[in-house]
Amino acid sequence: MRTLHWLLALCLSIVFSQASAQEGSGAYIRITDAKFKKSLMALPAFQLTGVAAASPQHLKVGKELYDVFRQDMEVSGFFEFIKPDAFLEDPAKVGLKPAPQEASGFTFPAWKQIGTEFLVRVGYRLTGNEVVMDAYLYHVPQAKLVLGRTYRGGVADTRSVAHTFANDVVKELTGLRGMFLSRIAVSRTAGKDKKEVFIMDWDGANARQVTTHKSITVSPAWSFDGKVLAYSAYAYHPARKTRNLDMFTYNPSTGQRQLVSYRPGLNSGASFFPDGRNLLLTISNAGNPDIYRMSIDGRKLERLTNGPRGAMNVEPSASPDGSQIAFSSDRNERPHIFIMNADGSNIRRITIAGTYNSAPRWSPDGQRLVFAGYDKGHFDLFTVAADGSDMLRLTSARKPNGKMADNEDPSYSPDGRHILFVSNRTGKKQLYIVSIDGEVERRITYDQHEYTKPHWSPAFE
Amino acid sequence: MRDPFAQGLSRSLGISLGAHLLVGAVLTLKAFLFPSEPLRIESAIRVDIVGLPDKSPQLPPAPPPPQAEAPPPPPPPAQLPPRDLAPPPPPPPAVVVLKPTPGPTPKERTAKELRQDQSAALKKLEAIAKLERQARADAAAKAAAAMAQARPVQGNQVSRGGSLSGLTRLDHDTYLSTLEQKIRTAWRPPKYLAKNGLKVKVLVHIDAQGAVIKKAILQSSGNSVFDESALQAIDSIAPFPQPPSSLAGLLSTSGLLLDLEPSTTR
Repeated sequence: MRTLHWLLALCLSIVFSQASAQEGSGAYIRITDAKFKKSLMALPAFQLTGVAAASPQHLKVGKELYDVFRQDMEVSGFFEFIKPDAFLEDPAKVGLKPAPQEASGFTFPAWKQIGTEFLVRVGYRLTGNEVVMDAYLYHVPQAKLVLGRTYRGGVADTRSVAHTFANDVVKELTGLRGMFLSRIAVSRTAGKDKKEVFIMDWDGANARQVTTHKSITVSPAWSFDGKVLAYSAYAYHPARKTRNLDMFTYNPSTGQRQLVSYRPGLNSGASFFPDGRNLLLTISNAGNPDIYRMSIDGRKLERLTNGPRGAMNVEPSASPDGSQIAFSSDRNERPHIFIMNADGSNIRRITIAGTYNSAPRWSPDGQRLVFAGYDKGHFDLFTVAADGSDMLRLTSARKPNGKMADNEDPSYSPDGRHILFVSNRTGKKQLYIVSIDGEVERRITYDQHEYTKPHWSPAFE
Repeated sequence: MRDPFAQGLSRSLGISLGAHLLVGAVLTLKAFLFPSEPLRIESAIRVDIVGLPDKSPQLPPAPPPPQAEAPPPPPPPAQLPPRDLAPPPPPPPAVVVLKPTPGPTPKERTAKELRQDQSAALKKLEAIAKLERQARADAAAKAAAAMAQARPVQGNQVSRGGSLSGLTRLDHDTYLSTLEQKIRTAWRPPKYLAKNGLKVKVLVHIDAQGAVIKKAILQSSGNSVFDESALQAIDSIAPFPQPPSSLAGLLSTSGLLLDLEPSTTR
C-alpha cells in the first residue's frame, strides 16, 4: 500500500503545482543609457587684486587668462555658461570666498537661485614679471569648495597658467587628465613653395617654427612621452645631385637634431612605439613603399610588410599598447585600412566600404581608429572600432564655391575626446577640431597659410 | 484452475487499471476544483518589439497619450498621501505532502479500505483547495476587470520579453515600459560624470494613485552628485501614472527597484 500512497502524493503534487503557480515578478526597471547634460557654470570676470588702479597691462593679462580658461572649459564639453546679466550678485563687489568665511564674500543662495552648478572665482595680480592667480571652484548645490589653488608663471606664460587651472578642473571633476597643455606639431607653408614644421599650443597660439630645411618638410610625429619629434624633409643629396625624402628626429627642449634614415626614395610617415625606442616608417628603397620598424637612432631596421604583388603599404600607426599597427595599403587594388601585429603577422582588413581610405590613427584607449575616406568627390573623417564595426562619419562641410570640402589628416587629442584635422572649407587648408561624436567643430587656425598632417601631442603637464 | 502466472497477470492488470482510474479521477477532480485560466479566443494582439507602427486600417486607434489620463491631484502637503494599500493576496497554502500512514502489516487490504483511504485523502484535498479557490476567484475577478480595459499594443512600444501569461501581464509590462520612458527622459546626470562607470540603485514606493510614498538610495554610486541626480529625476516625474491594480500592491509594499547603470559611449 506504500505504492498507493506514493501515487496519491504524486497526484497531489501535480494538483498543487498548478495551484501554487505565482504570477508576476518583482517590479524592476533597468536603464543602461542616460541623457547626460552639461553643467551650468557661472564664470564671472577675473578680479584684479593688489592694485588700486588697473593698468592696460593688467587688463590685458586678466583678459587673456579669462579668455583662455573660458575656451578650455567650453571645449571640454562639460559646461554651459550662465549669462553675466543673470547674476544676482555683482561679482566685482563680493569676495572670492563665501560669506561666513570672508566678510563681504559671495553668498551661495544668490548663485543657487539662478541654477548655477559650478561657480568659478578667480583673482589675479602682477608681481614684477610674474602673474599670480588665486582660483576657486565651488559646487553650488552642495555649497562646497571643490578646488582652491594658486597658480603663478611668467607673464609670457599667461596662457599656460590658465591652461593649468583648466586641466586641474577637469582632473578634479572627471578623474582624467586634461588636454589643455597639449600641443600640435604640423607642417605649414613658410615662404614660397616651402613647408616647415611648426609647434603650437592646442588652441593655435604660440606657434613657432622648429625646422629650417628651406624645403618641403612634412609628417611630424610626437613620441609617446612628447620629448622627441620625428619628421621627413626633402633634403639635398650632393652625391646624387637630387633631393630625397629623409627622416629626422628633433628634441624641442635640447634642440638636438639627427638624421636617422636617408635611404634612396621615401623615408616618411613616422610613428613612434610607446616604449620610445623604436618607430615605424615607410621606406621605398627595396622597390615598393613598405613599412619598417627602426630604432630611433636609425641603426636597426626590420621590414614588416612586403607587397604583396608590388602593393604600397604606407602611413603606419602604432597602437597605444604597442601590440598592433594600423596602416593603409592598396593590395586590394584600392587603398584600405589594415591592422597587423607589431611583428608584421596577422594582417587583417578593417575597411571594406569606400574607394580610398588612408591616414589611420589609433584612439588613446586603443579601441578605435580614425581615418580619412574618399566619398563622392571629397575626403571626410570616419572613426571605426578596431574590428571594423560601428563606423561613424564625423565631418561634412561645404566650400564657398558650393563644393564639398576635403577633411583630412586626422589626429586624436590625448584625452581621446576630440580629433584634429585639416579642412579646406574656407579655401585654404586650416586646422580644425571636432568632438568624437561629430557634433561640435571648432576652427583652430585663422590665417592664410596651408597646413598639412598635424599630430596632436601627448598631454603635457 | 489458474496457473500462478495468469493469477499474477490478472492481479497486475487490476492494480494497473485501478491506478489509471485513480489518476483519471484525480485529474478530473482537479479540473473541477482548480479550473485553469479560461482560453481567450479573440483577434491576435500585436506586440511589436522594434520598428514603427503600421498604417494598417484594421488596427484599433492608438491609445490616448498618457496626459489624457490625468491622475487625481496629489493631496495638499499638510496631509500624508493616502495609504491605500490593496490587501496583499493570501499566501498560497503550503504544499501538503501526505506522509504515508504507518503501513499495516503487509497484508492485502480489502477494496473497501482502499476506498476509505482515498476518500479521506480527497476530503483533505478538498478542504485545503477551498481556501485556494477563494484566492483564485478574487484574482480571477480582478483579472476580468483589468482585461475589460486591456488595449492591444501597437508598435513603437518596447515589450519586455518573458512569459506573457495573460493580459494582466501585458498591463504590468506596459506600465513598467511607460515608467521606463519617463525616467529615461527625466534623468539628466551631469556630463562630467559620464565616463566614470557609475551606477546607482534606487527603491521607490508608490501608492495606488501613483504618488511617491518613499524613495531611497539602495546602492550608492559613491558620488553624491550622481545619486542626487537619480533622486531628482524621480521628483520631477512624480506623481507617477496610476499603476494597474494587479501591480499596485506590489509597488506600495515592496516598491519599484530602479537599476541605473549608464554604459560609457564612444
